[in-house]
Amino acid sequence: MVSGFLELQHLRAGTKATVAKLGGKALAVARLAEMGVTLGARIEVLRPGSPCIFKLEDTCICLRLEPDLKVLVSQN
Amino acid sequence: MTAAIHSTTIRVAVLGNPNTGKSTLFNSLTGSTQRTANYPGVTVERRTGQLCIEGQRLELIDLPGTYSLAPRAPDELVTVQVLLGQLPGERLPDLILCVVDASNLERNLFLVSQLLDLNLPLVVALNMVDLANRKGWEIDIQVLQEILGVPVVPIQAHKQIGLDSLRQALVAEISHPPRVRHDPFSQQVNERISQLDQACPDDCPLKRFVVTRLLFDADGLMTSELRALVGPAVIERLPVEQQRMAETTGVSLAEQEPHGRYAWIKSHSARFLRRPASAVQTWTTRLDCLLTHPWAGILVAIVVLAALFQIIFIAAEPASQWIETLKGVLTVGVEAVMPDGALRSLIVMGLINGVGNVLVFLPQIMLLFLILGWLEDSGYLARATYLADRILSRVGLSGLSVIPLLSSFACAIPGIMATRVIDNYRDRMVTILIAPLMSCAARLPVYILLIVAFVPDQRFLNGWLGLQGLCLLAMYLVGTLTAVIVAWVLRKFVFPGKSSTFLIELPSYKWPQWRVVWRRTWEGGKSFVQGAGTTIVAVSIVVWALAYFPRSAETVPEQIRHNLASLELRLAESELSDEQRAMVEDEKQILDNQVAALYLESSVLGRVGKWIEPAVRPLGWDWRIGSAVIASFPAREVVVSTFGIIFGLGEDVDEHSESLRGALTAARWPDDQRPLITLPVALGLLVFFALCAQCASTLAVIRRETRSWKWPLVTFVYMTALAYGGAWVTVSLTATWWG
Repeated sequence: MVSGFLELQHLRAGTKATVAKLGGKALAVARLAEMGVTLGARIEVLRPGSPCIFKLEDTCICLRLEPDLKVLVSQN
Repeated sequence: MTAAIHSTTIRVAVLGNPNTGKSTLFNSLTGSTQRTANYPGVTVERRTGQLCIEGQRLELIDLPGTYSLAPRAPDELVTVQVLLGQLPGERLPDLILCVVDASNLERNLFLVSQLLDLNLPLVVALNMVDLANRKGWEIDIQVLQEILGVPVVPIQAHKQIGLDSLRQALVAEISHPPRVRHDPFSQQVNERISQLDQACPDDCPLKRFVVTRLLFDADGLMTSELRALVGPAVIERLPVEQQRMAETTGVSLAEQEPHGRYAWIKSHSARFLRRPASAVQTWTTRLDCLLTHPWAGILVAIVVLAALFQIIFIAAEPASQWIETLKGVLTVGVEAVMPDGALRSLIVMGLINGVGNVLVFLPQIMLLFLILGWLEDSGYLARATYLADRILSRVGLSGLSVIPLLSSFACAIPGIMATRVIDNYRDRMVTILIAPLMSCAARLPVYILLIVAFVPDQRFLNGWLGLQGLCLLAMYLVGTLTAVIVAWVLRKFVFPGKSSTFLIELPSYKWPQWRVVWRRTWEGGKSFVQGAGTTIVAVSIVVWALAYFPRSAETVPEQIRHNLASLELRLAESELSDEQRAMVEDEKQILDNQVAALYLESSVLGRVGKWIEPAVRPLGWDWRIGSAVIASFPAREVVVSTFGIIFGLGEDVDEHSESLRGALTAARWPDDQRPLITLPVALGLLVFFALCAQCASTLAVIRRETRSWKWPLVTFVYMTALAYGGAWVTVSLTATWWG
């Protein structure tokens, strides 16, 4: 599959992806990054959309993205 | 130095990520020695416990669970302030105990890495090793200890396994800072830290830690306090160093710290952590397929909710009855030993009734805390939060509001207290302001009284569906739907602004620890009695005084006084048969009630009721309903007993009392003898009670949580206006239908 950047909330359930870029307000970015969602982290979408649930290695995270945060991922 | 420390109590700060079993461990270590207080000026609980190991006394301080030492919510701020000894009366901790979830090791090591920067004695309790083993993981404790430079003790807090080794490690570690210099960052970042460190005066406590925090947290809550510690040279340098760090590393400031620390963790994790090639399918994944399912999950949530309310209403009933009985016994006792008069009336009506009215709700509130605590500890509430977020985000709230709002169905006081978990100021304010609209347990007696008295007992579907039950449900819906609309309006006009991203961790499911759940229940009940209890008692006394004074014997017509006196004379005669005596007593009771009603009419409360009668006339109320409603503003449940007094029944009535129901249906307008309370008026009253802010304790809690008189005032005004408007619309509409 061609790898291109996608927004996290557009991934389908079951998709595995790699975090490619975080953007938005510093506060929101830092919160997410502290939970381990940093560049290169591997995630798997369990419930798609927004709010979504995704698995990050050993953690399950529920995230509703608002305009203050963007999560771009590359699918592979 | 060692000897000096050993002679005093060692202060141990206990930290950890949320859901690491920190509370369970804290309870196991300290047992019954726990004390809770509040940190001065903030509503964050300060929980401490004592521990004695080999003659050394330790004081454990349980800090709120946190993912990071960059504080962004009030409770996270307290954590950092305690670590730095920056709160009044707190000095630097001597030792830190960090609780780590072994089954989520890498994420938990982020906090450990931040703590290592403090260079204070540190012990890592590696909890839930059983869970990690079940996932097929192998953790090499020895290697982990070498990498971190501090002792790592594997434990299973819920089974009390490994606690002895942990206690040993705590004592052994006193006055031993980490054996390895913690250095997680790249050369470029380290240079920046060193530059700031050199610029910082030596009298700053833990200065390398402080400048590191300042470098990374551009706009954290702690920043202003930290700035005061480091002196102007560092402040001046800070933007330059942050700029240079971003340029040399190519990573944005917000991501800098997580990027650096996680890179360090990843570079070492292969040495201490071996995972199986394919992840083991756990309980949690399987359960989540059902519980977070778009519609099956909602269905389960509805069943859980329904069960929650059923249990609260049914199981709390015997305990509430018992408290009611006790109230009755005390009243009778006092009346037997004290002469009639103002003091007796104060004790019976003001104190026994006042305290009783608070305690009657205690079983419901404690049950709510018990069940919610159980659901939270099991991990289910986080899933419910996800489901609720999909709905609540449409009115501008987040899933975090669901627990406070649910609690408010039992009582708004714990509900409002539970909003502390909401880190977004606007979300928190909106949640606080709408929480009192949820139909709390105190509204139930009023609902039952009015519905049973005035709503016809019609049944449909072979008796399974009753009109009265539907009416009760409608009352809960009126409150909830109004809350949704008010939330939307507040979010749009009073607290405008974009929603912020909502992020929570969904912890693994586990069997809840009863000790942890019970402690939370106990503390919830305690803070309800202390917080609400004192207000209600004070206010009950005021209402009692308003309904009692002025009191002069002239109020009662000569005729009634004369009759009463002759009845008393007859009772004093000894040759009455039991039957006769009962008849005379009944007669006297009727007269007594008339006297009570007359006194009330001439009291301040009665006069105020008459004075506001024109204002409540459009709702179909006369002065009697008006003054009962006024008397119930401090605490709405008071209305049932006030109705009892006003409609001339004496004081000993409750919502199941047949005579009160009869008196209400029999009440007439004095001028034309129309029935006073018709079905439309009763429905209007119900809506009024559903929407009105008749609870002084709730307003007091709003004042405490928002630290301003403005918000309780706003709540009171908007809810009273809504209640009046809602009642008027209900009366007008239903009067046309039934008219």
